[in-house]
Amino acid sequence: MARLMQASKIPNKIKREDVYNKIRSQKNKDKLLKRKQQKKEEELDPSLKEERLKNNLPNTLENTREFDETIVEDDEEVLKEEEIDDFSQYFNDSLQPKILVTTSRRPSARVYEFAEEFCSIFPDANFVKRGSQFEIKKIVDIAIKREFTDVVVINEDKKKPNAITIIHLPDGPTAYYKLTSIMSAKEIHGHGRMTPHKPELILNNFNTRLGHTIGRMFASLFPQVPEFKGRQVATFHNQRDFIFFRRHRYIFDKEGKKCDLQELGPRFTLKLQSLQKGTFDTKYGEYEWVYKV
Amino acid sequence: MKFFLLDYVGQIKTVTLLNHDLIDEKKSKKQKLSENTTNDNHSSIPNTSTKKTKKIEKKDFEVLKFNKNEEMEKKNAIDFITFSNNLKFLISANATGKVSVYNVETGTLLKTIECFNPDWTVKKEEHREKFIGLSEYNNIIMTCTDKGNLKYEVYDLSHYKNNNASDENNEKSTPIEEEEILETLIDIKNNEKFEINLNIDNLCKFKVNKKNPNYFITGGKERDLMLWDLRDIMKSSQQNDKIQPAWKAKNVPHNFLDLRQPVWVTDLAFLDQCDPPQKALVITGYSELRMYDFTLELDEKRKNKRDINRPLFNLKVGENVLKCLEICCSDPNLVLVSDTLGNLVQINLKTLKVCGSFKGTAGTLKCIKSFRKGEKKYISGVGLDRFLRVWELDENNNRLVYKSYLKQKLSFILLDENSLIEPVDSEENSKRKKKSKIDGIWGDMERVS
Repeated sequence: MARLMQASKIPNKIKREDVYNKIRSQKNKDKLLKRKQQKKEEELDPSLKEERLKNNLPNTLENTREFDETIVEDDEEVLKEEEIDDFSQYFNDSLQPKILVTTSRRPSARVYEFAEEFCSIFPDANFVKRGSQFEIKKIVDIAIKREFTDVVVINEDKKKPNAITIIHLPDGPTAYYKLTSIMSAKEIHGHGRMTPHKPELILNNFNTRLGHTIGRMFASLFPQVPEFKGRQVATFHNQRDFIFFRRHRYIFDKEGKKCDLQELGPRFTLKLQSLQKGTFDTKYGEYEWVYKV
Repeated sequence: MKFFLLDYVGQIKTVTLLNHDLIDEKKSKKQKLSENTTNDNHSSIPNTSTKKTKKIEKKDFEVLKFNKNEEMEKKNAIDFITFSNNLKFLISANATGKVSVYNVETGTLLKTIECFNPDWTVKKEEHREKFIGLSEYNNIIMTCTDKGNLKYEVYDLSHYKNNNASDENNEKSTPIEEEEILETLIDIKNNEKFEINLNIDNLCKFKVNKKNPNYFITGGKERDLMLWDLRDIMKSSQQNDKIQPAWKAKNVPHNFLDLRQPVWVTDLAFLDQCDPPQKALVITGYSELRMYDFTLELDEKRKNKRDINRPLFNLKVGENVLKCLEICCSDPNLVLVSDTLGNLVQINLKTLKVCGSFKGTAGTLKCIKSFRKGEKKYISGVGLDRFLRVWELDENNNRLVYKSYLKQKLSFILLDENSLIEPVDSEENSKRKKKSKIDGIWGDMERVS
């Protein structure tokens, strides 16, 4: 350190760089020597290596995370509550989903493209062009009358889709997601072509109580029994509160031991901003959870 | 301290907190973190195991399901809960239109009274009839629904009371109070029932004056604050007259564009529980806090009649819909107000300024209660984020001292006032016990003459 401090005071640039490089190479040499010696010692006594690996646990975001007390692990009370929540009709009485997908007012071409791909994910989704005279509250009322189960509104900013609102009908909840990192199927290298089969669904890491609600909300957008013939899988993967969506087709080899994946697209990332009790009402609605910075 | 908490699936939960549970959350977090790091250095336990130990640590509070027999169902959701006068019974108002009386100690259901039948065919929850307030005074239950159906009903649990000798004493003491204050309520007692429609709907809240339960206030969407006198109501109902409130608020003046200001009372409270009532506070869905004075008279300042019925002040608080109002237990000049985003602020009524806030909520607060224990003042709040939180109220530093996850969206909180006094007694008792022990030691010794 002292040498480095001295080196920084050298006025001549070329000379200074020279000294810096010398210091650096010396450091690397020392490191290499140390490692060589360590390796020798550990070859003689393997228990040393075991101990080193045991003690040398790097701090990662995963293992330094604080314990979240709302994580649900076979909690009887929560399971009971989920039997009577807003999505229970879908899970218990196998109510078919019927989704209305629409956009913000006067959407741009890119939003239409995204909406089309978004609709292709859900077999029961219908795209409806947004009439500019309809407020979302009005759309919700009409959708309830026509027995839709969900309304999805895709928002845009600067001609790019930037947010998704999913409204579960008739009694909510309403989830508002930030939408980023959109990659359409076309842009994905080596993408496959999707088929109209009902996909299988993977929901990863929706462990907390809030996550359970969100996971159930996504699950209730898909038909309950997938068509395994289509071999299509839709994945919602939650990692540090970002939800990554991917869609794949899996192909087993002849022996049935190895499996290949082919991505179908689109890709996008969601981040929950708010979960509101009841149907869409940003001004007067009550929030179950709000993202607070 | 002991809380009774209501949720949206018809459970009553009790949480008992002890003094040592109330620690500064930030400090405790730091402590835990430092403990963990020391653990890692010395014993080289992987972090997963420390997670588990943390989980066990958190179990220092007690959650009991009060009404064990009730099935979890949305229809059974309990909207309000209150203690009877003698703190022996717990009275709850249900979304099914029933009022139930429970025994506080055992949690057994003693009686149910049917008040109305909600129409379950209505698809949206908002359009169904529901309770907007519940109160109890000397075995009379007072309820009101959002359609304006006011109901007074006497519940008689004398057959139950006779089992306990201590309850009889209470019975003897209550009638004297009755005669002094409430002739009308005695009328109701003789008839056992009194039902009337106030001829207004869309109500949001109903509050009864604690000192003189003849007075109550109501408010709602496009229904400004009204003060009612039960004596007047009964008189006019006997004479088949139109029911009129004793006092009616006048809306604030039109705005600068000369447009009428919409009315939406979301919560209200008597500022001082006195007889006759003097002042009331109102919060609105348009993020305003208002104070009304029922006793104003015409004078030089207020020459028109409408000026009397207008609010003393109209304070804008934030931008969101205000949901809960609570008057600080220790200082009537301090008011706590929370909005739909869960922002809880403290407002000084003298300066009309926000003088503090309480952090940590993730969702809408549905109910806040302020209480004091010993010298410390606390505020507890529950809401849709499924947490019970307790803050310590301090002039310089409002801090979160307790939080626990209770698995359900919570709608109401009731504080067991007995539990605030008990712990002090128990401490004294323990001191006494120690003393008696010492006495015992001295007593056992032989006397040396």
